[in-house]
Amino acid sequence: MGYVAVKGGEKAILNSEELLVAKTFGHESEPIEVHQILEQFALAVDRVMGEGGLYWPKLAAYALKQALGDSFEAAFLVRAFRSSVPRRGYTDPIDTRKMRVHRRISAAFKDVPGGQILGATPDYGLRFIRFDLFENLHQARIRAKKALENLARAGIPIPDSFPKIVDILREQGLLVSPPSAPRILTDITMETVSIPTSRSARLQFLARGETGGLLALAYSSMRGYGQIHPAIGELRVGDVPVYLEGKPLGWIRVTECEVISRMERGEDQDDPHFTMGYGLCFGQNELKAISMAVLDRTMQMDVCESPAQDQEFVLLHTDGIEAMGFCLHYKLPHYVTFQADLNQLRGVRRQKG
Amino acid sequence: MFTLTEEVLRVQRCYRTLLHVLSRPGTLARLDLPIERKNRLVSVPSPLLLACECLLDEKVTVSGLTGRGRLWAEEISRGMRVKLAEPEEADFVLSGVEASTSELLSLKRGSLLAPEEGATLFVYVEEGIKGDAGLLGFAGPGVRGRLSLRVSAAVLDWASRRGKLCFEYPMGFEAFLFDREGNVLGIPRACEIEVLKPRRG
Repeated sequence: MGYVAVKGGEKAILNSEELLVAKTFGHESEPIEVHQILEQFALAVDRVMGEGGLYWPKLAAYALKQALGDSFEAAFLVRAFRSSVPRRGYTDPIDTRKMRVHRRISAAFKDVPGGQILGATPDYGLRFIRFDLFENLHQARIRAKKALENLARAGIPIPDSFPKIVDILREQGLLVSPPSAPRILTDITMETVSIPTSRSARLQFLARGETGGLLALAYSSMRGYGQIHPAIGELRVGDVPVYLEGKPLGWIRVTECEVISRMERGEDQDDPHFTMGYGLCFGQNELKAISMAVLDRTMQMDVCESPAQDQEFVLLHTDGIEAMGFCLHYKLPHYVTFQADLNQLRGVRRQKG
Repeated sequence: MFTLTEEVLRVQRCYRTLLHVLSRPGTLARLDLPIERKNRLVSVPSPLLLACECLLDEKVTVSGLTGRGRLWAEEISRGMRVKLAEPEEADFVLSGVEASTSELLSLKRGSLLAPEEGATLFVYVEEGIKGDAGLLGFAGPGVRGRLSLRVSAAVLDWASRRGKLCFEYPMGFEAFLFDREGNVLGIPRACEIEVLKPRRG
């Protein structure tokens, strides 16, 4: 691969940056405030934090504003920021059993212990654009506020914690035992990872993978390029406490998904049992957590017969920032390499003619 | 837990400045130093401390050249949980401007396969970077043609020692020179520096 350094056109580049800054503030409308992005584009903020690999909602909102809403570019900004800040240590493992749940569903059991908590979701509605919400914004806000107050009055308080479906299945011996935690975890931000790699590294790659990329490969497996037909044992969205060396730091919002998959007969277990894939990502990003869990499961297969089972294929092609960087670098000058191609083509033609 | 404090922003500005001067050798920039010092790491000069807060953490090692450099490194190590190492093994080395050629030669320069393992040197120039002692010439990547800068006697002497070092590129080390006003000068490993007008006497 040949690259040509970008030289010259300095003034044009500076002008281009000025134009971009002007677009960030808008021309005919009021500039969007960061706190508005934080609250009203919360899912975009969550996506940027996940793919950027840094939990800091306000920073992700800044990045989204600067990137004019482009989640790839915003995630790139966040990851670049992340690489420029000192590392103070590793937090203790988070315990999702302590999650303050906003949403918790199981597609495997209707009467799940603790109940299904739907939370706010578009899952069961029709995908119509609700013009009524925007034609009279003021009225719509009043209606929404009243509805929320009524719900709050009529509702039952959500318990502090919920039992985990996988724990129940494990108690009954129906689900594969959890792997013992490795003594030393791979840190993909500090180490060069070679494939095949540990599960901890795989989960880290997936956790900061690009949602669309993960979905594409997980979907390929669901459609038949692989044999994973997942049942969502449990999908949770909520806030979990974070500790550093036992000291509380605060709470972060995460989405956790456990998919229960095909039966297998384990090496040390005579009875067949279900297997599991796991997904956990920053913020609320259910599509990503489910895709991640499916891919975690596909990459555990002993055989490698489809792209979704191939660690290299999955892990090295779903990092949105790397993929985007490589794709976009083709926009930069390749004058010398193209001249070489032209010379070669002309040379071949001369020889032929 | 997630507050965009002035401290965070200052470290970010410092990062941008360090990047700027390293990509434009021979160009001075000014760090945005805090008006009030935290009551810690008191012996470390403010510009060095800010650069350390920006680039050092518990994943890297630090060392010192010269008496003051060693003192600063020990204090940084204690206060910021950065591992202390010998100068020839350290990722970051703090130094007074009087470090000798042999001391500079001892720094990690990486290898042909891993040039990124070369050290980063922070040099503190008590008397200031700018001055009338002589003219330094800069050439190499990031410099259009040749650039010159009037510098103090201490910088001129240091540059003359640095100029004598010869490493096989891409091996080598990066250096940042700081002074008490917060001026910073970046000298990447690929930069050629030459004393154009030496001081008299």
